[in-house]
Amino acid sequence: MLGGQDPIIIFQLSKLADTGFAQRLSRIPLVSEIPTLVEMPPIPVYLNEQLTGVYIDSESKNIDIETETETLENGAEPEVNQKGIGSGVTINMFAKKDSLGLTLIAALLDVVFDKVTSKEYAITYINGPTTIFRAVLRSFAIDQNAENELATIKIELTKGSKQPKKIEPTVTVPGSVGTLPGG
Amino acid sequence: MQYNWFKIFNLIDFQGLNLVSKEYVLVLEGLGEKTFLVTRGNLISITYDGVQLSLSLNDKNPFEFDEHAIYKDENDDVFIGLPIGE
Repeated sequence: MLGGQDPIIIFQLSKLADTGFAQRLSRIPLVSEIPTLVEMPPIPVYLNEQLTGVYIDSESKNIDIETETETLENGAEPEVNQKGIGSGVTINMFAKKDSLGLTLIAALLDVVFDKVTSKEYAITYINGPTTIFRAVLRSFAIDQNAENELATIKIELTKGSKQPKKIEPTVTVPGSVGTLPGG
Repeated sequence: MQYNWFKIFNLIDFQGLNLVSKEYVLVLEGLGEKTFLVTRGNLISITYDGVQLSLSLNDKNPFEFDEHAIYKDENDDVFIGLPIGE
């Protein structure tokens, strides 16, 4: 929450840096290119009934872990193997059909949809204990009907966005002419 | 044959990364920004401008091919030799 007031959802878009070698790399099967992302300014959307016409109906935070318990033939303490499935937040909201918040969220998530494979985005949601930083979008739905002035919005976010890497500065290398380096 | 030599990377540092390949983008004095792909297979190689140069191929140091060359010095610094006047 900003100043302890309203929930906030922040869209963080980034751009994959274009290396001149990228096209040539695609012909060489050995390549493992390390991607570098350039962050764009974050876009916050305040979820406030007066400001953006959106209010939170309910929210939940879940952590799911797959747990396998294997009992042993010798009767010793069973082996427990765990694997993380996901850590996520589900937010259910109401918004007036013509609200600014609804328009913004729908438009930004359309932009996010194009970037899901390139991983050039992250979403942060802050509302007290239900907070998730740099999450990825798991699902999004808006439901409206003719009888109701309000639209229902459901957003599911999951932890897992990659931290963008800074571009390494380019190094200038002096040359030397000769049969071998150094003359 | 004479070349215009530029240091691209240090062999020990590259091997310490445990990568199969790494791209080095460097500004070469007098030539501008160039990109070199360093790969690790049976030999360490540099691919530049469509030419692949393998370090110590056929036990030659420097290894020369297609008017380019690759050389490793006693400090394990790897140099690429480019045609003079490129």
